[in-house]
Parts: sequence; structure tokens; C-alpha cells
Amino acid sequence: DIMSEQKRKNREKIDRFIELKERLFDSRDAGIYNDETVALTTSLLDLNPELYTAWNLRRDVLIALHGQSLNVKIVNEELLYVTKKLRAKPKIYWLWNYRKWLLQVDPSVISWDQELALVDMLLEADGRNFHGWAYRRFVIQCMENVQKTSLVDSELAYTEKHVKRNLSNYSAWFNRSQLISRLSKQTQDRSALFSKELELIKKAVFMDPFDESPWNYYRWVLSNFDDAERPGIVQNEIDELEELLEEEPDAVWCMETLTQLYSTYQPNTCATRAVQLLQGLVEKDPLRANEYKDLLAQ
Amino acid sequence: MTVDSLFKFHLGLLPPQAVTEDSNRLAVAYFAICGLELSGALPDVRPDILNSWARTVALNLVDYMAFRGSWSMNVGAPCVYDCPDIMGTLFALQVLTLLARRGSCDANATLQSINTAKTADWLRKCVQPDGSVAARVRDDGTPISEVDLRFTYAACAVQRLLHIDALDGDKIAAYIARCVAFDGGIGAFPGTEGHAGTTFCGLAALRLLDRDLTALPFVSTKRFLLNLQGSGFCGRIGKLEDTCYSFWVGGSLALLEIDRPPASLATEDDFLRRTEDKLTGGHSPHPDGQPDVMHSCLALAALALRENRFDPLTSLPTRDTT
Repeated sequence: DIMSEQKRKNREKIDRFIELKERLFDSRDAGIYNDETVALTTSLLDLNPELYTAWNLRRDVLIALHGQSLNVKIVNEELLYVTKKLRAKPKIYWLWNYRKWLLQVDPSVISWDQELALVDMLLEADGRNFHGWAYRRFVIQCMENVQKTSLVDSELAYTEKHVKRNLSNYSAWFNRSQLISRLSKQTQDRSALFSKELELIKKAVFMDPFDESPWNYYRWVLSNFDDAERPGIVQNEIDELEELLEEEPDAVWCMETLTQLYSTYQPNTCATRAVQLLQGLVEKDPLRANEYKDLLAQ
Repeated sequence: MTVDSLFKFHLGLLPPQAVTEDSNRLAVAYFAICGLELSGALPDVRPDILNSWARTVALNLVDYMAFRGSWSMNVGAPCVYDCPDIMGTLFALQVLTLLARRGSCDANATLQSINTAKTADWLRKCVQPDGSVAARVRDDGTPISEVDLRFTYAACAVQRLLHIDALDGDKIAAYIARCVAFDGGIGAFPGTEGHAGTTFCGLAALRLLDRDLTALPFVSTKRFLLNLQGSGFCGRIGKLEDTCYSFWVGGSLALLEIDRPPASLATEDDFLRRTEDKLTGGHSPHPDGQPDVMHSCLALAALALRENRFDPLTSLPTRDTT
């Protein structure tokens, strides 16, 4: 019957996996480092790409066979193998670890544009894959080391593409925060940098005030202006947000942001308005009512 | 079939679809046995079965020092491919603690057999120069795994479960502080997005190291966590709600000693009802999904947390329930 047929097939698969694993460990015990051992790891990893022992052993065998600096052909073959696995399962740590090792064997022979293209593909498929974003930062760093240039501007353009397509892509905004932070340490004109960024994030916030993601980044941008300049900028933002709130009285994130702006930057002058907003929030955002009540008590 | 059956099933032979969990057998054991304790079924398990589970876990004890991640990693002699793993060690200790509480002599014996001085040395080796923690290291301390805040939590919890004091708290706390993102969320390593799971790990590790959580930047961490609730909880801003985040966020809020308003609890209850499988009683990540041990266990743990029946520091049911 179907059940026992299924059980038999399952048993076969399990036995095959166990057999492969034992053959692999026997090879290791006997010190047999050859292409057949590599092939064994391939069979195992095809069944279970998360078997980290197999990845480690594969690397050690390759080094034993070809020396610490693997030649370009081997590196590219391995990269191709990992790419295949990444397409199917982009969230497995071992795949990224193994790939990073490959890239660092000899950075000068790597086709970095291809690496970027791979990350692009992953981030197109899932713009919130934080492994992908972290890996992208790693690749950019390697490229900057090899090419001796800064890629901040092209990366800003890349993230801008992502947020314009999807304002809610917090991972892209997050990546931007790091790029902007980095630029702000190098630039002469911090004010211009953050003003431009404010323009960009404002569009997002006003386009969909009910989406949480842009508000966090918006507040961060505002916090970065110099003490001298900030009061004027914040006042301007407060005025615009109050207008927005009139049009959208249920925009809870807007209310929350206003409250934070008042209490952080205008604590003495706008206490009454802040209290009003908090009372409104207790009603309109009951999931977080205790938080607002605590703030009211202060 | 009840949720107990789901838990017990995973302590036997797993189907081929679960092959990717082969290196995680101890994780599965933890979720299953913790789940059985939380559902009240562990006291009814026969002593000889408890002992057989304990003996299986004990097979993973390497050098009377720490545990490998899974018995499938056993290559016959300690070597760089078969070495102790920080997550495996935590799961093993958690399982053995639960079994020992229920009277398993083999669990007790295994716990007593651990040379905690050697474990302390190994834990110290796992801590990298920058204060991060690797899951596996060579004898000279070089890592054979990535670093991740989950391992930081595991190291601190292992230390607590074995009643040892091996780790450099200041160094580790400083590293955790560097993992706090601009929005208060805590990421797996510095420079990455805040995530509910690693936020839990960071906060729990700090509490295990007796650090104060009332100051900045954890004020914004509180905000980050509270904002993750839509109906259930998400793991990151703008992502999907998932049963397991009820535990990671609920646990984080408990560590920050935050009182949740009734609306929050009621809305969460509603979500957890929708992710519960009506036939088996276990939980899946999303409504209308397949139940699995992890989500089933963590749903029960989240509910127990709310009633102070679960300790977020060691991620175990509190002793009072036994």
C-alpha cells in the first residue's frame, strides 16, 4: 500500500545518507584526500547543504590537494557549485561562509562584478534577506580593497533604487544609514548630505504614513543634524507632520513621531501638545498603551 | 494525535524531509522535551524512556567537557570535524536538566560527569578578541564557525546552567552594545538589522552577565520590540508575523520587565489560536501551516512566560512547575 511504499522509500533515502556520511568519515580517518572524497562531500551536500562538517572537510581536502592558494579554475568551479545551492536555499549560513572563504583565497582573481550580480539576484528575489545585505557589504568592502576606490556613491544609488521600488524595504533604508554615516565622516558638508536624505525619506513617510518602516529612519535622519541647525529643521518637520495628522487623524506612527520630536527637542514648550498626543495614542494604539501611559506619568 | 505525539515523534526517527536538521538533532531534542514539560506530559513518561533519552544525549559529550551538535557528527574520535559546539552544549544541558528534574539517573550522572573546569577553558576559547563568540573553535581558539549573537547567549546560558563563572563579562557586554542598531533593535553582529531573536539573545546574555538594562540604548530597544506586534509578533520591522516571535519578543519584554497591556495579550492570543493546528494541537509559524516542534514548543513557552512559569535566562520552564 501507499504508506508502506512511502516508508520504504524514506528508509532508502535515510540509509543512503548515512552510508555516504560513513564513507566520508572513513576517508577522513584513513587520511584519504582525493577527488573521490570531494565527490563524496558533493553527494552529501546535495542531500543536505547544511551539513557543515562536509563543507569544512571539502575545504580541507581542496587545500590538501591544491595548496592554500587554489587556482582560479578550482575557485570558479566551487563558486559555481555554491551559487547553485544559494539559488535554492539563500538563507543557509554555511553557503555564505564557504563562499566568503573562496573569495578571500585570492581576491585579485575574483570577478567581483559577478559577485555583485549574484547578490543583486538574491536581493531582487527578496529585498529583506539580511544575509544578502550583509554579504553585499562584505563584497563592497573587498572590491574597495582590491580596486582602491570608494563605492559609497554607487551603493547609495543602488539602495535608492530599492527604496524607490518599495518604500517599506527597511533593509535598504538600514543599509543607507550605514552608507550615510560613513559619508558624513568624510564630507565637508554634513548639512547638505542629511538635508538630501531628509527629502528622500520624507517622500516615503508622506506617501504612506501607515507604513512603519520609513518613520524609524526619518527620526534617525533628523537626529543627525547639528545642534545649531536642528531646531529650525525640526520645527519645519513638526509643522508639516501636524498638517499630515489633520488629514490622517488615525496615523499612529505620525502621532508617535510627533510625540518623540516634541519630548526630545522641545520638552519645555510643547508639553501640553505632547500630552494630548499621548492620550490619543492610548486610545488609538492599545497594543502599546502601557508605554504611552508611562510617558504620560513622566 | 495530540501535541505530545508530535513532540515524541521527533525523538525517534526523523523523515527524509528533515535531513537538513541532521546536524541539529540536539536542538530538536530540546524543543521536543521542553515541549513535553510545558504541555505537562513529561511526568508521565516512563523512567526507562527518560533514561534512554538522557543516554542518547550523553553520547554527544566530548571529553567530559562539552557537547557536539548531533550524534550524526560523531566520527569516532575528537578532531577538528567532530568538536564541541556551543549550541549543542546548551541544548544538551537544557535537556539533561529537564530530565534530571524528572528523576532520570542517567541525566544526573551525565551532568555530574562534566569536568566544568575544562568546560570553562573551552568557553573562554570560544570568545574572540573582539568579544564575539564562535560556536566551534580549534584548540588554539581560532574559530571554525561564524560568530553570531546566538552563540553569545548560549555561552552565557551554559555558564549559568553549570554554575561556573568563566567569561569576561565586560568584553562580551561591550560587544553586545555594538550590535545595537540605530533603532534599538539588536542584530546578530555589529552593522546588521535588529532582529527579535538576536535581541532576545543580547538582552538575555546581558542579564546573565548581571548587566543593567534600564539605561540607554535599551529604551529604544523597548520601542523596537513593542512595535513588532501587529496581531502576533514579527521578527523584524515590516516582516511577517510568526508564532515563534511570541517567544523571542515576549521573552525580551520579560527581560526588560515590561508590563504588557491587556490589548496586547488578547491580540496575541487570537493570533496563536489561528496558528494552532486543530487536529494535533501543535503550532505552525503562520495560520494554516504545518505544525513543527520548534513553533509548538515556543508557543507554549510564550504562554508560560506570561504566567511566570518560564525562565528566559536559561530558556527552561521554572522549577515550580515540576
